[in-house]
Formats: sequence, structure tokens, C-alpha cells
Amino acid sequence: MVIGKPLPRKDARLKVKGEAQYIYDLSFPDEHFLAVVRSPHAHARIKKIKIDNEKAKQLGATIGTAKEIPGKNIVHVILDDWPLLAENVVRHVGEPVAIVVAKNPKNAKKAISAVHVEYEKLPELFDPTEAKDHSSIHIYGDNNIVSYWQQRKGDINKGFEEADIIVEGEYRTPAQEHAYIETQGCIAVPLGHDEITVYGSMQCPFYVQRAVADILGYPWSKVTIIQTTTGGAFGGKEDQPNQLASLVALGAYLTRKPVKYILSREEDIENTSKRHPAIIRMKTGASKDGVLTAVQVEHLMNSGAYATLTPAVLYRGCLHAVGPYRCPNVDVQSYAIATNLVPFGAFRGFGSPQVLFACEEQMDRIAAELNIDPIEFRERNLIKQGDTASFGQIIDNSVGMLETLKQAKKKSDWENKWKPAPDFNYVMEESKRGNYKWSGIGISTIFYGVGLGSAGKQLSRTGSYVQLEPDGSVRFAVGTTEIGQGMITVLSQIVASELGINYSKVNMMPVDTSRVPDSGPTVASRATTFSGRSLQNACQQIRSLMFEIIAPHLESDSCNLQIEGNYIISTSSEKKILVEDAIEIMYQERGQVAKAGWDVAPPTDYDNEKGQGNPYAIYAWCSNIAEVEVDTQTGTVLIKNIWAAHDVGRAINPQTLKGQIEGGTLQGVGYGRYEEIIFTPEGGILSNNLGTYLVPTTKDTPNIQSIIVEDPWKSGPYGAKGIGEQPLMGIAPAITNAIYNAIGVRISEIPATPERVWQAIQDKLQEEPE
Amino acid sequence: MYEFEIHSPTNLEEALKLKATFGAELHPLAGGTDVLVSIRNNHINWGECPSLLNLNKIQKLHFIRETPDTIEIGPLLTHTEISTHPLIRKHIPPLAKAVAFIGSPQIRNRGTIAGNMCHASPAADSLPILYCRNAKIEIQTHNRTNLVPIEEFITGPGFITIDPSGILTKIIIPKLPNYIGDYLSLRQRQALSCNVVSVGVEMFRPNCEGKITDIRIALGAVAPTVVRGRKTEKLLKNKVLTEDLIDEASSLIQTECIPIDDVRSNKSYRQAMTGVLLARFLFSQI
Repeated sequence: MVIGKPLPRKDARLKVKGEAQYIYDLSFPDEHFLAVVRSPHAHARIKKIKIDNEKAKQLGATIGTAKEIPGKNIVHVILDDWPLLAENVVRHVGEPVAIVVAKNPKNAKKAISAVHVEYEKLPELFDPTEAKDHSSIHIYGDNNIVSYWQQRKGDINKGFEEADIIVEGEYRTPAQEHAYIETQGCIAVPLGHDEITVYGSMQCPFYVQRAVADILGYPWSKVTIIQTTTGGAFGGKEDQPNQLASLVALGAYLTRKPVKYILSREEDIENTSKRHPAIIRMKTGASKDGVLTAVQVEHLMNSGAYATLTPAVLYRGCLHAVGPYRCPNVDVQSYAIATNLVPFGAFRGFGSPQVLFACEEQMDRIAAELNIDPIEFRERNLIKQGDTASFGQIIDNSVGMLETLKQAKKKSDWENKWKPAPDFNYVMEESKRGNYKWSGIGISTIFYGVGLGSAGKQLSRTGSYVQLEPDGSVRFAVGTTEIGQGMITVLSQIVASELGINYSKVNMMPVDTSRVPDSGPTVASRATTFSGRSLQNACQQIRSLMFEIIAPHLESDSCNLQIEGNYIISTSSEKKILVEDAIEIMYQERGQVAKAGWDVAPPTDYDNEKGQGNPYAIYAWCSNIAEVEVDTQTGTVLIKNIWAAHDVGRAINPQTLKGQIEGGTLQGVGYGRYEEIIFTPEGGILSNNLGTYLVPTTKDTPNIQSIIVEDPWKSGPYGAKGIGEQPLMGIAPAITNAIYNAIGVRISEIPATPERVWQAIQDKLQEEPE
Repeated sequence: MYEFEIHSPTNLEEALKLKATFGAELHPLAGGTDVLVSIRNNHINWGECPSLLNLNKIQKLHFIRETPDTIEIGPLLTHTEISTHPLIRKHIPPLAKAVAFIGSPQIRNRGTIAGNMCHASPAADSLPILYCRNAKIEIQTHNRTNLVPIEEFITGPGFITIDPSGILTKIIIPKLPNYIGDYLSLRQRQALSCNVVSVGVEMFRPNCEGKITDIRIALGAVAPTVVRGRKTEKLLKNKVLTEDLIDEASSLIQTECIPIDDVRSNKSYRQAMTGVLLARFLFSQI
């Protein structure tokens, strides 16, 4: 059985040997280079754009502004508010105003100074609280509200009346940079006067296809997008390549040359999307025996200057705000507000890490107030099979929540390690005596709606293509992408298993929009699950073709044939044939040897008027336990151990799965403890390279114990549900809860840098004099 | 990606001749861990892409030796060599500790202490202990040799005083027999990270519970250059260490720095931490 085996990654060898072709490695004859003229202002009116033609000519540069765009000057994502090149107003520092194309990068960069843009500065807004309903500064619409979602259940006032204890908190989370190892880049290659191919590092080639077609006004069938080996994405290459590919496509259209654009790290950090910063006010009520009675959330997300993916990110944020708990009375009000910062977008977890930080802090605070072990408190409230979630959906299938909690508890030795947080004044006194290192342990329990859900259900279908080769090997294509997560490997295992062909003989073709129909984006932890289902559909069709041709050879009826290992076996005649030999016969008999697969995701629905629905088809569950050591004098938090237990339905490849858990957990450590984009007062980005924007290094990596729980999803391929995002989502609150457990100080803003922890200690000293 | 000229003389005389001809146009290159980053960033003080004077082929500049009163270090000695060298470990142990914090193993294998010094970052890990030791820098030109105290050599963040035709040829570090020293620093993460505040200390007590007869304290990353905490040194001199004295010193040292808010940390934290780190050293000596 090839499913469930830790087989080596299909792409490991090429990548380790440095032979994989990234966008940087790809060149075309007579390729030209692009540079972008960007706005220095956060908010300004463009009064005039003057081109120094003499200078441009000297440098051999072609310049394009909004006027030169042959199609629509809109980069399509969701709300169609994002121009490719600013025409009248710039709304964030770094917004593209013009493109410059020249024979080499140096001339292209020099030619930027041939474009003189005259601006008139406009008042700017960076704080979403201030921007919401602003009377005079309008960045989006007439109130700056980009998107609104809500959850409503029961009677919130009654819920608080019934509560014996109410805890309120305000939480803040930062902009986080994806810091993928390969910066963004694309090459556009024009074919004749009305056809184009764009190569690039990306997650969602079909998004790019539409964006480029719209910008150039070409038919979609003449726009082909090919994904190159992609060095990480994490959401950062979901919508952004729409813009970058459109810029190079415009350059290629204007020059009729291949045009390449690869961002430097600084250009990438300054101008591409990041995780939305958020402010979350949360009020939670519980009975004295530790049962939730009411949860109220006011959730403000900073959308930045354009909507891009914000409505979808906010949807997920809103629906994850109450956490994986039963609660009869719920009121979640989520708003995304436009400001004059760089547009924020998709990032692993997609709006949920922000609200889960708040939610899990609240859960810990109530447990502490009630003097209940935080695990026990959660056990009393966690969703079990058959329970109703806060948004009204009955969760009836694949609910491994409590099992993840049980295993994380056991493996971390929680029972022996956890004690209530020490008294703060005692900690401070001891600290003065030189005992300034304190250990603590913290927990978070979270859930994740797998797939696009109701907000993106029109995109929730996947195509695939499977073709048998005469030598008994097989090639397949899908529309979702390998972005480092291991999709090629896992999908190859599925095809190998479905067709009885050795894993080593199954190969995936590069992702190319001309191979399979629009399969939606590679996001929402959906690639394995939904391309997997589509491949199962294709393979099932191929099996039927195969069985029909082979049946006579096995003196059997085709309905009695099945695949076992590498053989086709007849249950009636008990004869068998190697799949490889069967394929040879198919070729000899001129049988059809290729099939397209199709899958439509199970139904979802959500009624935002009522704040209730069935927003996702299936949920993944996770418990994280973190063990930390806090230095009370310096505020430094050392994260020693993390136990991450995940219900993934089924581990198709436990090795790549552990890779996902470890990588996501570490990125969560970054979010909770280290990483934060620092903006300048003018709305630019100060921490614009990896020397100032610090992600955790190997030396900062805690001991991560991955725990796999398998509660199969009946509709998932072999029961699998996806793992991409959950490992990041609940790490921050597990860390901050462990900090509280160590020293009795609450952290309401992440990351928990030494400065912030130290400040929290100083603030508490002020409020509670000894 | 970038083109520039490199001269690679094989002896010092040739290097000095080149430097005499091209002056500041020719930028010395030792390990390259700062210079190449600067070139890449186009930030270098010497123009857009200066020519480089590669010192790596001059064997004579790669040395460490002991004199009766000092340790002398050549400019090509790497951080790894310094942190592991028996002479440094014996005579300047806090320096061995300090340079082991720099960057990553790869950077320590390439980067040199002379380069760290010439880059003149107030956060340079090699500097506080050299300030405590009153190290001297030897600068040679084709016709002169000068000795400059480190506090005069470094004039600001990224700025040094050096004759345009001069090359740093030696670092002279006085021995401090029977001193107890330490280097304490805080940084944002455990590797590849500049420190946000650091404290170097060298202290002498004739007997271990008696009076401090000499103490030198240098602070990193809290002023435009590394600075000595001379008021605090004075406070502690000729006193016996007590908890009260440590409290006093830990408050006073905070007045001797002028930190800033920047991308790495903030003013009030840096200020408070100079006190915490100094107190940690002093407490360890009670």
C-alpha cells in the first residue's frame, strides 16, 4: 500500500542538487527587464506624468503608464478596485505608477528617473479604527469599509446575564511577512500580436490567466500561464502574481519582447502583501462550572489600500473567531477597513491566526479566573461529534478534536508539568534575588475549515488529467500547484494507489493553464484533498477503460476486476495480470489511455444576514502545547518545546506531513514571538530585508513534536482533509499562555518580543505596587 | 550582478603603494562579510561601487602574537580564529566570548575583527571589550606608522578616522592580568542577529571579597559609538561589592547612555537593560 508511507519527496533530488528551475534560472532569447516606477507617497493625487523621452531613448527604455494598457486597468481579485498602474490617485507607498522596460536591469532601473510624476499629497490614514467611517478621507467607498461579515446565534445579552464570570480583552496582532525563500518573479513571452505565455513563481495560475487576459484584452484561450518551481509562497503568491504577471505582460505587449521581472528582497517586502494586522475586542462569559454562555467579538482588520483578497480573509477570520467550542450565544462583528498601507492579503491561516490568538487568550483567562486547569476547561466546551458549531453547522464527521487534546496532553506530560501561574509579586521578589528564569506551559485548541468554503465556492472545483504511457508509467496533470508543501508527492501516491502503478513510475507534469481547466487556487489547504478527489475521478475512469479491455484476457467480466498491489485481479476467475502488462495490451488494442478528471467540492452555504450557515465542508482540528522559559529581567522568552497534535483525517505521507507541521509551527513561533513588519510614520516599511525582519533561525527552533491523529473524512481521498495552514494558527496563543503560566503576566499583543514582555511586566508593576 | 575592480597585492608594501595612489577610492577588503553587503546595498561611503583592495593574499597580515604586556592581532584574523585561539582564551576571555556571538558560523569563518572595527557599528560585538582594554590600532601608510587609541579611531556609526592612504595593520590589546571580565548582550534571536544592547566589563580586585581597585565598563548599541561608563566605573572603584552598591551602579549606568528607538529595539528597553546586564555581572562577583 502506497498510501500512508513516508515515501521520499518527488522534487527532493532536483531541489537538493540545485537543479530545479526557478524563475531566476529561466531565460529567453532577447529578454528584456522590467523596473517599476512606484509612489513615494501613501496618499496623493497624480497631477501630471511627464516622460523624458530623450533619456528613455538613450537608455533604450520603453515606458508604459495606465494610458498604454490595452485592456482594463484593473487587477482582478475579488472587488475590482485595484488598478495595475495608478491613474489619478496613489493610495500606498510603493504603488506602481509606470513600468520601464530595457535591455538590462541596470538601464531599466536608471530609466525610472525618466518618468517624472508630479504629486499633490493627500491626508493619509494608517489606523483602521480611525479610518472606519472617516468623514472626509475616503480610501475605499464612502466609509472605508471593504468588507463585513458576522456570526450571530442565540441572545447575546441573555448569555452574559447567565454568566457567572465575564472576561474582556483587547488584542493586537502585527503584519507578518511571508519571507518565502524565493522572491517573486515572472517572465512574459509574447507570441505574435495577440497571444502570450507567462512563466512565474506562483500559487494560482488561473487567477493570473484571468488577470493578464483582462489587462491585455486578450481571449483567455490565448493566455497561457506556466508555474515555475516555486520557492515557497505561504499565501504571498496567491494574489500578488496577478499584479506582477500583468506588469510583465504589459511590458511584453509594448516591446514585443520577452520581459522579466524578479523582485529584490527589499522590493518584495516593501510592496507585496502581508498578513492583515488586526485589533480584536472580545468579551466571553462562562458559568462558574466552566461552561461558555456567551462570546462577543468586535474584529477590525486592516485591509491596506486595496481590497485584494480581504473579503475572503475576513470571512475566514469571522468564522473562526469563536474557536472550536460550543456556545449558545454568539455575536461576532467583523470589519475590514481600508488604510493607506500596502494591501494586505493571504497568509497561511488566512485571517484566522489573528482571531484565534484573541480567542485562546480569552479561554485561558477564564480558566485562570475560575481556577480550572485550562485543558479541563476546554474539554468542557470543545465540539464533539454531533455538536453544533457557533455558526450553526452540525459537525457530524471526522471530529478528532478531543483526541488531539488527549495526545498532546499525554505526550507533553501536562499532568505533571502544569500548575497554576505563580503570584506576580512573588515572581518579582524572587527575580530581584536572582531567580529570574521561570518556566511555564500553555495550550491552544483550534479548528480549521478546510477548503474555500462558501465565500469561494464558485472556485471550488478541480480538474485533472491522467495519461498512461506505453512503458507502464503514468503522467498526470492538475491545476493546483506545488509550493513546497509536498503536493506532487502526495498526489503521486494517490495516483499510484488508484492505478496499481509503482510510485516511482508516476510523474506530475508542470502546472500549465492549458493542461486542465480552471481548478481554483492553491490555498485553503485544499490541494491534496481536492486535486486528490479529482485524480481519483480520472483514475476511476481509466480503471473502467482498462478493465473493459483486460476482462477478456482474464476470462472475466469487467465488473469482477479490481486492482490489488500492482495487479489487476479477477474475483471470479482468480486470474491476474500486472498493471504494466495490461497497459501494454491497451496500447496494442488501441484503447483510450487518457482521461480528464473533475471534482466539485461538497456543498457549503452561509447567510451573512442571519450570521449562520454551513461555511465549510469539513474541519481539521489541532491542539498545541508550548513550554517556555521567561527571563523576567530582560523579557526574553525561550521556547523550549512544542507538542503539535493534528487531526488530518488521513496521513497520505507522514513524512511530508510532519514537514508541514514542523514548518508551520515554526512560522507560528515567528508570528507569536519574533516577526513584525515595522512601518515608518509615512506608511513605508522599515524592516524591509531579512536582516531587520527577523524570522526564527535553526537556533531559535524549539523541539517540535508532531503528533498525527487520523479521524478520516468520509469524502476525502483515503480520508485526508488537508494540513497546510493549521500548524501555524494556534502557536502564538500557546506561547503567550505559557508566558502567563510562567510569570503571571498576560500578553495582549504579539509578537511577544523581549521589549513587549518586559513592558508588560513594567506595566503590571505600575498597576500593582508591591 | 555587480561589477567592480579588485586589486590583490601579495605583500604589504605593494598594498600600501596602491593605497597611496588611489587613496579613499580603494576600499580594503578582508573577510568581505560587511563590504560585500554594503556594495550590494550601494550604501558604501566610498562611492557607488569602489575598487577593492583585497588584503587576503598578504600572509603578513594574518597573525596573533604575545608580547610581555599585550596581545597583537593582525587584521586578517577571523572571528572563529579569535574565539578559539589559546592566547585570546587565556588573556582576553571575554573577547573570545563576544566574537562567538557574531552572525553565523559562515560569517565568523570569513569575517575579521579588523573589519568589524572598521565597519564601526555601535553594536559591533568585538568592540566593548577592546574599549575596556584601551586597545590601540596601528595604521600604516607607505611612509608612516601611527598608533591610534580605539576611542579616537571610531568617531561615529560607520565612521573611523584613517588616513586615506592608510591600512589597518595591527590591533594591540593590553593584557590585564588577574582581571575578571565578561561580555553580556541581548539580541532579537539566537543567530544572525545584531545585539540590541551589550555590556563589556573588566574588573580587578586584589582579593576576591575586597575592594574593586579597577573596573572598566563599555556599553554597546546605546550611543553613536561604543561608550565607556566612566561615572559608574568611578562609583565602583575602591568599593566593596554589596547589593546596594550594585543597585546604585545599575541605576547610574543607565544615565551614561543615549539609546535610540530603531528597527531593532527601543530606547527605554535598551536603557533599562544596560542596568540589568551590568547588575548580572556584578551579582555574579559577590
